Amino acid sequence: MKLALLWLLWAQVPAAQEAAWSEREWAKARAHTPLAEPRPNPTNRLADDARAARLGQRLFFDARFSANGSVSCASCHAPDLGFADGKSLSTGLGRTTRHSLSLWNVAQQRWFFWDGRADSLWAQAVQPLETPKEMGFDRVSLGRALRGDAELKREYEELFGALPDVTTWPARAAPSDDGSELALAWQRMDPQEQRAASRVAANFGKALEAYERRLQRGDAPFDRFVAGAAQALSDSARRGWKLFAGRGNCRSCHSGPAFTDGEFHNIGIPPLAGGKPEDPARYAGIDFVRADPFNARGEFSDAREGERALELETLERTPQNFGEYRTPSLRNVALTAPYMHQGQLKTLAEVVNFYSTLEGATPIGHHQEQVLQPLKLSASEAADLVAFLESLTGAAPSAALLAPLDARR
Amino acid sequence: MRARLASVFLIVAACATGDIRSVSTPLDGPHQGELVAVPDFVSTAAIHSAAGTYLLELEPPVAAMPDNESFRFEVRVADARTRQSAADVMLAVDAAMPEHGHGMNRVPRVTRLGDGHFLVEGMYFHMTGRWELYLDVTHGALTERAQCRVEFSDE
Amino acid sequence: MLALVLIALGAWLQEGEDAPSVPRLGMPSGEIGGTTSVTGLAFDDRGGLWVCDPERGGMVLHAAGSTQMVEVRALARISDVAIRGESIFVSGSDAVVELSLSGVELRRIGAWGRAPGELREPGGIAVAGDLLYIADTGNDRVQRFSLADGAVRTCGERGRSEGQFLRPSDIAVDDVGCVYVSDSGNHRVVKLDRDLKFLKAWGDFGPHPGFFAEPDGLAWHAGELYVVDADNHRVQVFDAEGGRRHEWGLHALLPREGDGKLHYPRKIAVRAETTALSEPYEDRVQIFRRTEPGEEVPQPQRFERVVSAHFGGHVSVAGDLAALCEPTAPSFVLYDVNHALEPWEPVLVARSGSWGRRVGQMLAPSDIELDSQRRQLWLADADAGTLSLWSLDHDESKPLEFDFFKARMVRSLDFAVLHAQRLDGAREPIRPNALELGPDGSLLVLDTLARSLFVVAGDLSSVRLLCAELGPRPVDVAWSELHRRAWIVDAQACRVGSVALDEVQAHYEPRFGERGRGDGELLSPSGVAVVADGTLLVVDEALHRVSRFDPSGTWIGSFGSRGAGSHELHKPRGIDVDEQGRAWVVDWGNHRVQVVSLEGEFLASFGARAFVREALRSK
Repeated sequence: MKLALLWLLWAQVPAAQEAAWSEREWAKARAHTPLAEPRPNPTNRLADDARAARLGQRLFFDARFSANGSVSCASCHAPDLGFADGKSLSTGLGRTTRHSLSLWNVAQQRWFFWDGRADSLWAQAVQPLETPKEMGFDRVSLGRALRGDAELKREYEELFGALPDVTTWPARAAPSDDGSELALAWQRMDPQEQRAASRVAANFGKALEAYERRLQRGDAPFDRFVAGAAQALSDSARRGWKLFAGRGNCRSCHSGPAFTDGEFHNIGIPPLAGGKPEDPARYAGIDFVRADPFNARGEFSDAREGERALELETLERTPQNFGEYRTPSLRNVALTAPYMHQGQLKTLAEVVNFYSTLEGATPIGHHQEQVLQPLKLSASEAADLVAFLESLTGAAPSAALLAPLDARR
Repeated sequence: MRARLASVFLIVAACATGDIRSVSTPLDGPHQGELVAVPDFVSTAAIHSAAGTYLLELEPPVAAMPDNESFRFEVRVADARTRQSAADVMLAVDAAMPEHGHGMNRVPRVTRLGDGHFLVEGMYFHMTGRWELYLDVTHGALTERAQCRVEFSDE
Repeated sequence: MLALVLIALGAWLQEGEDAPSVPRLGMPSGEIGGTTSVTGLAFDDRGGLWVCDPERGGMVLHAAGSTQMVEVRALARISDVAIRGESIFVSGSDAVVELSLSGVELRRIGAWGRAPGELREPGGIAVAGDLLYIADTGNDRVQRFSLADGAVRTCGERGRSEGQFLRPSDIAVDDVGCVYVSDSGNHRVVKLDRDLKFLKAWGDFGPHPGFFAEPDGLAWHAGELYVVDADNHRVQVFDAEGGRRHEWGLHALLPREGDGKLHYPRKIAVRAETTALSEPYEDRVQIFRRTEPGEEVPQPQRFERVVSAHFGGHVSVAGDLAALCEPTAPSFVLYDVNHALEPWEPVLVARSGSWGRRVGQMLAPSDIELDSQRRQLWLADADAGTLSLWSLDHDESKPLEFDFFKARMVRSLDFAVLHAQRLDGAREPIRPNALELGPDGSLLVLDTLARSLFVVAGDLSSVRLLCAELGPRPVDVAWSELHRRAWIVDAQACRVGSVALDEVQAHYEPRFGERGRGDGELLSPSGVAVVADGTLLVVDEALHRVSRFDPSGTWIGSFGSRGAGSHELHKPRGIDVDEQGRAWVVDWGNHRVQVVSLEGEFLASFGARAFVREALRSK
């Protein structure tokens, strides 16, 4: 018995030593913590305004801005599902073709959607509002709905000025070139009316952005460990960090305190339905964001000559952009299964296995050498890496932020 | 947390044997330039173009360039021998990570402020690692490159 | 809530739209071999397949189980064929001829040149009613000829905007008279109206759906446009607006594989039940049919991770390094050749290049020339119209390490700007198709279409026209220090000629060469190199061999024969001779380089990796 205990103790020592970090590994870890406040967004002058955030919180959970009155932002970005929805392909009014992105720490990103087709959170919010398979609503109906709710009207007008007069507006209308009734009604509208309706949509987005910028979730066991809480990480997670920072080379794309470079890469994830990838991703996203009337250069931006506007100008679309998707943040990743742009990988173990074997990866082009190489992890290494990723789950902010506001305030 | 700029290597002397031809007025006929001894590493604020024709001064210097953040800098291009501002030249700026096989996913905006004086905006090194920064000076049909290795490490 | 679930369920069920089982083209159903370097092809009204055979100088008709050859005289380098009723139209290097079905020449359209109505290496033709449309490849434009009154309309110039082209290689007409052009160098399809006015274009460079890499053959059939996507080894099918419908094509992994696998397909002919694809690289035509109910067109499996090299047509060896282009990547590569490891094989030490139009990027490098002593190289890119000088950081103490940072661009010369400034003495912007290190550190630059030779200073600071009267298709140049002259091989004249540099007025002299297959004869010379003793090595792509001549043209010997084994060649292209007197031959059709002693002993080969493994195993 004593021998067994001694042996057990003896066996622990090497394990603990294996998990210990070198100076370099400590230095690398410090580059990822603490989670910083989001960068300011001058294109939305109310981005950090508390009242705008409160309005945004109301709008976020409000299902009236959908064609059937049952879909809100929270339908696909549910607070208790990691602000995503736990499905491979998110479903609003209909099933879409992409996996819902988590909103935790979303303001750390610079481009939004998997293909980066929005350059701000407020520009992003307009799109699901009007997409037929998501909320199926339109900006004209949005204007009417806001006018029709006394509380929302008051809060909106306090921030953005008077809501437009909607009496001359059609019942429903939104710009699009699909020749639908909505599109035809939009074309019949006066340019002044169109602009007013679009401005309502932009302001809707800006309030939502103010709320979403507050959805920060850091203070994970990883952060605490680096700050000095020696028991915060298990041995397995510590070994996982060594892989993440070393042989795994994960930090080249999952960099910085948000564990993302905010940029776009093609790692050969095959489409959910199999076959060859047909989704242009960033290749289409670049064209879209440059043409988006709600982008940083557009008339609804509060900083039309600023840094983000310059970025739009310097973006260049190249053929290599095809099939590139935005690097997600790894913070709280354990809360947001499944993973990848169509939720192709169900668990973190499957994700690590993909990088380890590259099995099923679609090749990018055969006349070029492949850059991504399989990591060839052992089973215990893979488990360590998963343990590390799980240690990035932060402490949830106040529950008051995560539920609809009490309307009678 | 911003990454520290780990190191900067100036690539000088295109030809190791020192047999460099200085071409002061490219394409004015068959040319016999005088040999220019290209100096060693001066600072990250002054870079010679690869065949020794131009001297480029950067403000702020390369050592102050950030990663993962859009930034701007100014470049003054001078004739390396006479140190006069180079008239009639245009500047283009690019960067690449040869180990990853990709370039910078931006085309920085270059504005001419005067003879041989340029403002470069929208520069963006989006990853840590080893980059090459390219400053291409074009005079007529001939472009000469000034190149500098830039390494970002977040440790 | 329930309503939401039901709605979602309904939508999801609808989502799984079942593609109606449309019979799709792409099932392999046979092949026709025995044709060499086959290019254009077309079906006639009776279902006979006419196939261009430029090496034999004619058309081969495959009909009802038999073949029949129709010679087309006085037309070099036959490229495409179109049938209209009882007439056949055939394009060649400088004209389109109309023939009767028995081969009698009825008329000749066009002549060599750049003026409207003239042609330079037209790659493809189409006939619709009384209108003949020509993809005038070498002039970067398309032309329309009226067969009724001879009126000519031209459209296009070199470039990539609307109304511009880069090496357009084929053309097709739809049911309402709209014209489609394969704009190969711009990797897109361009749609024009019947008067050649630009309507739209689609495509970008790459292997993705709707992208292209050297699109070539076009055919319109039953409301669909078929585009042969040559470097992607596939055919893509679109509707009239560029909407993608279908694609097929498995990439061949072994030499001469066939069996539905494609290897650089070029032209296409489509009929109701079958389609024929030509693959000049493999000297064959493959036939495909539509799927039967229940069949699926074979889809690509995983690619081999270790891919073969895709060397272009030139190699340069100097000192301890060898340099080659990979135009399809695009990139260039450097090998260390001086190490003493056994078994000896060059070791890859650098690869540089990315596709694009920024300075320092490439579109399709055409030739490379190495100056090992000075640690520099020059890279020509005929599509981009540039010549660039690079310096090399070859660390002699670590020769065999792969270094991502080894090559640095020093300077780049833009021939379009040079021409606009009138500093090149040329009639058109220079296309640098071949390079050779010449006298006194200068570079000899060959422009095939312009039939001209230029001298460029080694530091790119000056350009001089040496000779503008070369033969009809000069493809490679080699410098003989011993005799102070540049040797040039001509693929069309089957001749070797020279330009002496020390004369006051440099002019071109054809020196020797007879067309044929016998000893000392040439059929399609593709490369030339000079040995230290002044003798010449001439590579012949059609005869799969290298021949040695003395400067007077006396044949000394040959080595090589057709195949993929270790002593064999398949469509060899460039050649160079190293300091040890070994010949380096780009065995282009086998994705490799072979190193051979001057006595014909094969010493080593590299680049092919898996590609020739089977062939080598069986030898």
